[in-house]
Amino acid sequence: MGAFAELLRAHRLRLVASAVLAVAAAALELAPALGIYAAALVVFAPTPELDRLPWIALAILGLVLLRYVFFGTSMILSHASAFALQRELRTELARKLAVLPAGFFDQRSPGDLKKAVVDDVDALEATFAHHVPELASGAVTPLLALGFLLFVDWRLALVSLSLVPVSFAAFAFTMRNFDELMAGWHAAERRANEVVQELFRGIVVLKAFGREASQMKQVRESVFGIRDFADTLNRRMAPAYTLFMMLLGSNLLVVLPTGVILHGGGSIDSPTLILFLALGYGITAPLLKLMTLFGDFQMNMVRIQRVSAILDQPPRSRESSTASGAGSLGIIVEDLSFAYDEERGPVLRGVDLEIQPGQKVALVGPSGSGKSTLAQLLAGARRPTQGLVALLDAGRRRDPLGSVSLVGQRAELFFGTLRDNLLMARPEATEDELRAALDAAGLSAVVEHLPLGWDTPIGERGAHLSGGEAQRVTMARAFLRDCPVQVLDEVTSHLDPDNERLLQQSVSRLCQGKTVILVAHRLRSVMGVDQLVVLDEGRVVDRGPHGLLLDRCPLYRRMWEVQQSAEGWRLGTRRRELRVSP
Amino acid sequence: MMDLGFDLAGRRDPRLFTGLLFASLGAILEAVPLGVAVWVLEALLVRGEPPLSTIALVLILLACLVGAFIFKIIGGRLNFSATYDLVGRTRLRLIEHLRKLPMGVWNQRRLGSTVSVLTDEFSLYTEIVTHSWGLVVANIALPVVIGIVLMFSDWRLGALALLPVPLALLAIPWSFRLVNRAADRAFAEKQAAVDLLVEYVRGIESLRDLEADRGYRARIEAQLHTVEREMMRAELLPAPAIMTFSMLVFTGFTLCFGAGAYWLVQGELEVARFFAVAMVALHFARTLSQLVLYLAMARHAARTLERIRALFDEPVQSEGKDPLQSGPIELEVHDLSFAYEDETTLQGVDAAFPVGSLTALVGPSGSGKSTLAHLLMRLWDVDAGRVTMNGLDVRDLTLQTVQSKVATVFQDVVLFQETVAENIKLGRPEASARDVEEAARTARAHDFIMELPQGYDTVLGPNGASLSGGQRQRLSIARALLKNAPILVLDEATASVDPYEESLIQEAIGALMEGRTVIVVAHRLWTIQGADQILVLDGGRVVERGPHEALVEAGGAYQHLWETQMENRQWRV
Repeated sequence: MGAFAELLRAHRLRLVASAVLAVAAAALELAPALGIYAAALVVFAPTPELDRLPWIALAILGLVLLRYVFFGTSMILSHASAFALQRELRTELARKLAVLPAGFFDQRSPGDLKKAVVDDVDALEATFAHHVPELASGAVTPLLALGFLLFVDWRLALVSLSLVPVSFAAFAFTMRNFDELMAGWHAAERRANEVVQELFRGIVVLKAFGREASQMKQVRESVFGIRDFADTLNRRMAPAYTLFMMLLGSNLLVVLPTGVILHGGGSIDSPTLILFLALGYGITAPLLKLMTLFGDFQMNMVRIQRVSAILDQPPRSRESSTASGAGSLGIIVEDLSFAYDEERGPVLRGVDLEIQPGQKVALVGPSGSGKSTLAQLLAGARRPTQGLVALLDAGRRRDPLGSVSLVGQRAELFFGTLRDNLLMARPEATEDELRAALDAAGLSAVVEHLPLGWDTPIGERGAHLSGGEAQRVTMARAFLRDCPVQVLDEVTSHLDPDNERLLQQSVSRLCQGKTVILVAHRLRSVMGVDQLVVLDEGRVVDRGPHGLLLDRCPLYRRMWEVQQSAEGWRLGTRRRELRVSP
Repeated sequence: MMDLGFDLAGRRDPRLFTGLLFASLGAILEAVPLGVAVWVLEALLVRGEPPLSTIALVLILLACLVGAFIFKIIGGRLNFSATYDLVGRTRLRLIEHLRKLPMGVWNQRRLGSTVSVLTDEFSLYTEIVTHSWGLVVANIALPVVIGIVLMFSDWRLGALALLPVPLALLAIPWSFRLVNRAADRAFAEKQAAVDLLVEYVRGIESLRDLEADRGYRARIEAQLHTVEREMMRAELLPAPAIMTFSMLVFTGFTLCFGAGAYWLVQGELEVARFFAVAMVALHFARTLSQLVLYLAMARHAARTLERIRALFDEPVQSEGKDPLQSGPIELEVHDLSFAYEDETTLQGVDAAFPVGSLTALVGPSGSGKSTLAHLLMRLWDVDAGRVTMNGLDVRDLTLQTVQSKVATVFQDVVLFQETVAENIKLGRPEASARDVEEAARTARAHDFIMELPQGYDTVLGPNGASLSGGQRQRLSIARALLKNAPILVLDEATASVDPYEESLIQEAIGALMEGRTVIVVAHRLWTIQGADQILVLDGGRVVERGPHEALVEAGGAYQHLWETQMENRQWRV
């Protein structure tokens, strides 16, 4: 059974109760009409007992009030289930995302995931809070009414239904091009949305180049495109659709003449005629609601499938292992190949590596050579397509996940205070440990300047931290985790000199006594490591210390030379003497 | 009356009213058969025979049906065309308005929320407005007509049936007030949960690396519980008010029925009239109570409309008219101050950027150097002081003029889903294929472009997703080359590109600088040793200025930056 169905099962009772109450409320909706019938039976009886009439009036009032009690209770139950279900679904989805293989995230953009977790789950409120009870009652009211009418006079009952087939024929006619028209409609809307989005995303550039007007032309065309398509839609669908709606509500057209004839012929009595006029008029109208509801319901089934698809994904395999903390570990890589997807081909092929405990290793190579991917594989964040990555712990091989900490290019801060952001790395950390980590990451001075110290909210909503400060928060997290193996992917990009220095110092501190793998563009900063691994197009071209590679590896030598000359680069030379500014 | 925001379209449309007229006529004709039915019923009960022949009866009913059908079709077409047109125009006017805001407002967050109002929320608003004008407003005619029929049938009973209606109508604003308050709270809590969820989804891979996902989920779950509680409140609070409406309407029917029954027993009311009135009163209650279903919709439209109106109220950047001669531009700033979101980022900055000079802006992050660069191209307007071109305040020039004088190359390159050639041609739309290729060659972009599947005709993915950072930057340099503006504002940083990329970008920038006034936001000080002047910013003020040789000896902020950076360069892991 799917995970979704399992969640739903817990709410079974409440949802069924809600539907039952909704059906009861729907049945009570018939009370006023039946009250009129009851009054007619009393009045037209051979010996009228008119003193019953006030009781009938009271009964109607009571039943009408009862209907709202049922209806209200049904709505409370269905909403309680719907909101709880939404919470549970989101919780489950969040839990699931944490255990899915990294490859899953290569297939889907954060936007797709957001759509499932936020938008799809949002829309399910309608399904469980409204569609379930309303579908139940929408079907029951006409069915009950029809049943009663058939029981009283089957001929007139059938006559009152006679327009339904005509009406449905009109509906079928409306729907003949529905899919095609709807596709056109959605395309028009999507087009407008895309063009508007493109305008604002690029507005600064478009303005700078004076090209706003041409994008505005597209915006205007696409927005009027929606309007024009709405006209087409209206022209093509409105007549048949209007007919369909009107016929569903117009059975008086057949009931009244037939009723008059039958009454005149004496084959129905006055109460029956009154009943059919009171109850039969518009008896088929709820079918309309039923059909639109059903459309929405089906649309949400697609959403449920999307959500279920995530919930039912198999989790990544994970061998038991946690950071042992003490002592450094070696790493072994054997015949490793990796591809993000089959179409694009492998990013890494046949990589063999051995890293001794405590060694400092740098991965270097041109853009797209596979450095960052290899770093992620070494950290266990990705799984090899083929081959093996393992830690060597006293001669035993084990899974890297959990024992390797990865500090990436992006410095990610999350909602919450600085303390929250640090505790993420080790929830049980003491005050002293937090302080030590902040010190080690060179953040102590920054904390002093924050208005609430550690309890200052940071991230997009909170106090602004510069790129270098944010990067050092991620370093502080790495200190707190204190993993025996440390992977650093390009942590020192362009920062102002003071920030750069603090970051460099904390990197040096973090690397002490650990096995370290660095991804680096600036060769100069890693020329002193034990082993440089030169990658090109997913293969290891050569490895060894700086001096050796400079001698024997042409790719490395070229990279080194290009970088030396790039470092000597100057932006222009003085071209003119400045006037003294006023 | 319900505000649908038609005033925002910038024009009136008479079709709105003719459309409504036809739709109402249609609704009235739909009500006539009910009148006929009670008339026939009364005659049958009193005299035992119908007041007209069956054929005539069928013809009348059929005529009503056909008439209502025709009116509804005509009304519907007029309403649809008019409302879709007006709402479309509103959307365009809003876009026109928003694009005149200072460009600096378009940061990521702002972009997301505004685009969502202009796209998804606007679609929903369109749907509600177009449908409620034609259907809801016209359908109000139906209970009104039935109510009139009711009063004519028997004014005392009619009055009883109508008695609770004013009360019921009062329940609508009451329910709105309750909903709004509760819904605002629930909405805010939900937004907080959505923010957390989106951040979780975006950052899931980092969270996993940190093994911090569990702690983060605990926060999400706590927030989700709050949301559940608030949503339930928002749903429950207004429920009594909404139910009261329909309950009061049906109470009216019961009053009418009870009083009728009483008068019947007293012999003050004919049997036939009693049933006729009861029937009409029942349909009155039914049609009226159906209107309540549209209330939630109307409320939603009103909320979206509030957001739309708020966007219309944001002040736009004013534009001057003065022309500017083509040719060299003397750019200067005088006593410039600027604050963003209540935080002062620049204060009392004076500087001149002589024609053909190279100026470097340096300083720690947060010093205001990027903000100064942004003000030069009028991404924002200054709070005090002025930016001048050839002595004229940029606010007195047209935006077009100012922007045609400044070319920019920033880290964050925006590319469009068009061909490579189109993306480069953004700089000069009338450029020939040869011009484009020449610019690409000069920008060191030609070689990688030729390796793309269709060369210059390759259509880029969303925001050029398949290109590397260095390639994107070289495309933006080609663009700036074609634009050929006299002033160049440049962000020097080339983060995370490999040495090859970096040397290509450097060559391209060198070519681009040729013959222009250059203002560079510099990060690596050794690259700007040759600058004509260096402005050192700290805390939003210019703390030092001069050429490199002078500053490096001055013993101030620049010397500190320089020495630190030189030491950093020697750092080894």
